[in-house]
Formats: sequence, C-alpha cells, structure tokens
Amino acid sequence: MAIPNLSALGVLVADDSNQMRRLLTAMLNAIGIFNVETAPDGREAFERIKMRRPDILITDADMGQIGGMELVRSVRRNQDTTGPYLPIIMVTGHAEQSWVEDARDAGVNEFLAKPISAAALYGRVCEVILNPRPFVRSGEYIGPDRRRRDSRSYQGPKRRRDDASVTSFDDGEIQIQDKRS
Amino acid sequence: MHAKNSPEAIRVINASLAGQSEIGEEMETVEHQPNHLLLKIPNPEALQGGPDPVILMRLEAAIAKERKAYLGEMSKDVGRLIEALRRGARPGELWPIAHELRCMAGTYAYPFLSQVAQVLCALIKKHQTSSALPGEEAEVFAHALQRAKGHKGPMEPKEEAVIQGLRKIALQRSARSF
Repeated sequence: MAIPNLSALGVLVADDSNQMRRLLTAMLNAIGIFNVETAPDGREAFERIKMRRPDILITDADMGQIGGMELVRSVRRNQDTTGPYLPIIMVTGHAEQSWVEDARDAGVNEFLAKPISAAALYGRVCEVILNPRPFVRSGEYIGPDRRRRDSRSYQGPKRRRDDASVTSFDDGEIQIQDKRS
Repeated sequence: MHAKNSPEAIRVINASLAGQSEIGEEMETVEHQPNHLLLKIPNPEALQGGPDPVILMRLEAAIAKERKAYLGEMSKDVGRLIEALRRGARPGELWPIAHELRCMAGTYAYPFLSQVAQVLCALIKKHQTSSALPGEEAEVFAHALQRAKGHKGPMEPKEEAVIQGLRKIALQRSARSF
C-alpha cells in the first residue's frame, strides 16, 4: 500500500476544547496534513474560513458563542464569502439520533462521534475527498445531498427540479419520470 | 397520477415548471461540482482500500503522545468535578467538565471514566434545571469518578456493575425528576 500525499490540503479545526484541538491537529499531521489552523469557537472559525479558505472544516457541534451547527449554516448560506461547498466533518460527543439529524440538516458532509479513533478520522477525511456528494439547494436546505442510498426504487413524490422535468401524457395519465431510472 | 388535462394535472405541470413539487414543496436543485480536493492529491489511488498500516501507526503514535500530555489535565478535571459535585454546584458548572471528560477520557483509552462522565452528562441533560444534584447522588458520582480516575483499558465486570448502578440511579432520578 502507498501513503497518500495530503500535504497540499489545508484544514481548519474548530473546537472549544484545547485538548481536542491539539489532538486533532496532531492526528492530521500524522496523516500528512500539516497546514492545520484552529479556532476556539464558531465566530473565529467563520472569520478564518473567509480569510484562509481551507479545503476541509472539522468542527465540534457544541461550542460557546456561535456553535458548530450555526457555523455550518453560516458557511452554507454565505456563498460569496466562504464558498458554500466546503467539505465539513462534524465531531461531537453527542451521538444521539437528533444531533445526527440536526447536523445533516445543517449541511454537514460527515459526522464523527467522540471518542474519536484513528481509523474513524482517517475514514471521514478519505470520504470527503474520494466521494463528494452532489450539492443540493432548496428553499430550506443548502448542502451536500442527504440521500446517501441509491433511491432508484423510490416510488414517492419527487422533489427535485431535474427529477420531475421530464413529463409525458402516456395512457391518459401524467407521468413524472425520474431521470435516473 | 392525475387524469390528462384535468385542472389538477395542469396545476402539477405549472408547479413543476415553477420549481415546486407535486406536494407543494419547493424542489431541490442538484449541482455536481468538480472534485477540487482530489486534484490536490498527487496519488489519490493511495486513499482507496483503507488506511495504510504506516498511517495507522503514525495516528496511534500521535494519540499516545497527546494522551501522555493529557493525563495531568484529566486528573485535574476529575478533581474539579468531584469538588463541584460535593459543593452542590449547579448543572451549568458540572456539564462542561463532565462533557470534556466523557470525550477525552474515551479517546485516550479510559473507558470507565468516560462512561461515568457519560451517565453524569445524561443525568444533567435530562434535568436542565438550575437545581444541584441531591447530596447522596452527587456523592455516588463523586465516588465513582474517584474510582475510575486511574482505571485504564477495557472495563471488567466490576466496572460494568458500577456503570449499571449509576444508570439505575439516573433512571430513578428521571422518574422522580428534580
């Protein structure tokens, strides 16, 4: 096996725990990412994103001032200043389903529950590099596609502009066709 | 499905053209962005197939080094939490210390301490009031923290039993509420 060369990547770590910032920085260094900046809260993280344009954001969910969820929403919605496509890995001690769903709906790419392991962090970094999901915009949501599974067998109503853009009048009924099927 | 040229059919088509779904929600637009990150990596194929053992070794070494540096901090945090519990501190003061311990102790292979802190966090979270934990319950958690402080590595049945006991206390407290 070869060792990937990740030295060109820049990562911002936002966490209110000094220990966790240190640990994540050391772990990123260990996988070959040396351009690592840190921020102790969402406000500073947002400013750094605007100035430094990191390639990946790793953020805690539960920070003082502006928390991780607010930070993610700010990044996704401030399209001119931060680049809304920034891959975001949320690291948190809250592994409850409601937190995972909130993170997903805020526009997080990957979710990583604390305590974090070496393999889990590496896996999430690889995932955002190798398998970026399409970006979705709707009235309520801006962020990576929340449909992780292949939904070609889905029979319910379509909610995407391009899903429903092919229509026909076969057999006296309107057919709203899924372009992917 | 709607009959051809019915008012409902026309409504659906118009809604679709306006970017609305059949059930009235705004439809999503999907953008497929070029993978800029992949372009920055000269050997992306090395990312496939799981981590290289050398990478894992480096990661574990980094964690071990940070663990060593953290042990002193962990001991201080445990002491602060015990003192706060015995003093009758409010949940707002207990939570950040317990939360930090839960995360960091688990990461650094102190699962017993992490789980004691986890049960305490769950108990505090369940009762987001300004009340302090009752004295006898605070003392039980303080005692468990003291015992878990130096316990490294996997939990044995004795430690499992302590966690079960704490969970029972937390459940009883949930039933009674503060």
